[in-house]
Amino acid sequence: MVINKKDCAAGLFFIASGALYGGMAWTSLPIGTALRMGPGYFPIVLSGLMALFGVVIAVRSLSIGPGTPFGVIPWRGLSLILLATVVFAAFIDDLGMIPGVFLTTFLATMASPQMTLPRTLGASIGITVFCTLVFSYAVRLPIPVIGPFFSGWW
Amino acid sequence: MDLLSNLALGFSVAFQPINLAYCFIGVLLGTVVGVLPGLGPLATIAMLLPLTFGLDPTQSLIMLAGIYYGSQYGGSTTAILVNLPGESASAVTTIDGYQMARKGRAGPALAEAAIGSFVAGTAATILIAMVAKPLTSIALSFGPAEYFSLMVVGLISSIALASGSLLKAMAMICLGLLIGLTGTDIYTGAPRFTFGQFELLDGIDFVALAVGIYGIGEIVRNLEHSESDRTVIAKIGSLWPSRDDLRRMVGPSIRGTVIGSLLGVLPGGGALLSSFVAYNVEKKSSRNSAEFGHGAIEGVTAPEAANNAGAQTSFVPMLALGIPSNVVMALMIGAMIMQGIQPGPNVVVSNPELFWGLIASMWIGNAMLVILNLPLIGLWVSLLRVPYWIMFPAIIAFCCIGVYSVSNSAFAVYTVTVAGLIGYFLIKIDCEPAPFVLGFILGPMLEEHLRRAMLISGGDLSIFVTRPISAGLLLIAVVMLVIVSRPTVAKRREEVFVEEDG
Repeated sequence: MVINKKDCAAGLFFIASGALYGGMAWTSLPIGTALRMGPGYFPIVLSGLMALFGVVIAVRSLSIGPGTPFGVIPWRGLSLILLATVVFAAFIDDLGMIPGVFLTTFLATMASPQMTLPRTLGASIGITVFCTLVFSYAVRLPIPVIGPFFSGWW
Repeated sequence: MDLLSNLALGFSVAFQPINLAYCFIGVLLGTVVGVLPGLGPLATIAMLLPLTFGLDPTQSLIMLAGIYYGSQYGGSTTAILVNLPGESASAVTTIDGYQMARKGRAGPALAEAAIGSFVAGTAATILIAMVAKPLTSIALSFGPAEYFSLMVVGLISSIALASGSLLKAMAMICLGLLIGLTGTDIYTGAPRFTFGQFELLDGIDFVALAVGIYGIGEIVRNLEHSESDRTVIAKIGSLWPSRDDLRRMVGPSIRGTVIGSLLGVLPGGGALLSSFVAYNVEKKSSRNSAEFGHGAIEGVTAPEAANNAGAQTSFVPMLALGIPSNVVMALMIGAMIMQGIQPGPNVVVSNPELFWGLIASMWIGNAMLVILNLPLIGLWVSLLRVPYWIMFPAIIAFCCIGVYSVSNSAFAVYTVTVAGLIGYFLIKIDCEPAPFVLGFILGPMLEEHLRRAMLISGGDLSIFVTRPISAGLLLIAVVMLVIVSRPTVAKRREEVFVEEDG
């Protein structure tokens, strides 16, 4: 039997999300009545509907044929890009615009498979200069150019 | 002549040099970013939102509207020259636009896109000016039941736009609505779905969510293909359409404008649906229908006119009812609230200069697009030559800086990370994000109006069908649902979207 992997995954995802949100609403939120709906009423209806759709999608996936292939997942790119955003969020306050953006773009550029070190450095420096000029000096966003982390250095 | 005096007020606001300047900057920046492949209007506006913070409300909205149609036009340029739709609404333009470009007629195709858009923009501006006022007075009579039904119509029509299965789109709506409910319950103050994070008590930041799904998710998807897969940029040649071209443009641009204007007003409609419908109508009705798919001028003009008209008239439900008809309008509402303006029927009364100034500036912005784009086309082409390995880190940096400064918190940037991951996963399993995002925006409003309606009716669901306007709206929703789920239509929908991918 050939199952449609994408649909099967989608169905299971919706069932799981429905169970998670429905469970949270059921256990922690008052439901109320149709007249005076509590905070849990609408979420439970929605989670129920979503899980139901999920079941139908999952069941149908067993019989509708293989569908389009899943394709490759660029794991390296995916993780480096997500890491770049996390690094930005974690360090921008302390590092400030120039070091923060440099670090973020440096990580992000490495997500592309064709990168060499000169390209990576060139792109990161260029983007950092551009962002600093535009966002710090032209738009005057309240992000420090050099953050407090470096304040004792000179 | 109420209309004329209102428009006069609008133009007096829009022609103030400072407002003209912001309109120009908006159109220019919007086009620059919109030209970049894979960046649609939503990501563009979200990225550029911080630039408008220091401005007063009128200026910032004029600039944002400029960014919106600028980015839409930029997307068409990319669609014609490299066969990559910069945003979903110009996907249709790639079909015939790129074929024209391959035959060495990229210049006329670009000129037609600009002229078609301008014609549509002019007509849509007049239409908005005419219907906005009456619509706001109708809106003032709307109760919670009507608002609820209107939003249901919006959600159902967003399904018609989603590629892939209806069931998935419906499930995505539910998921969006649920996630939209995150935060403090307005009636009881109970925290919902916050996973213990106090930052989530105010709900999930919409800008961060949108940037994650449409910005980061798209970039990861583009990384699946190596750079060599990208198509060559077509040569432009002479810009001017021949006399024969011009003659063939008239009908399609008028029909496209009409279709776009009507569908744009529909909640959940807007640019994407308009361009699909306009293309199909032309393909059916044109005498040159055999030429479609091989570089028919009509196939460029009609969808371009329609998507521009639709983009503009989608401001109507936003300005008149305070309900976003699509995700871009949701962002606009967010921007208005940040500026201290509550969107809804009262805006036209309390801020007439903002309301009419915005409408008038749309027309000026469209004129600027034509003036700006035809001479600067060489610049856009050179932008397209910037390799992707420089482009995407820059986009990531802009997204992070933008989101961080919109909410002034690092938490919002973490939201981008999570939304990017989930967005990519959803795209991978063929779940279109648009219904999810629309559900996310409408979730809290939908629940609030449902609860109010129930309080009014004493818990009786029949309130939705006994009030005539509400019943009419729900009937529209049911009819739409039946139409899109009929097997023949479902098959046709698939074909349209297959064409888009091809």
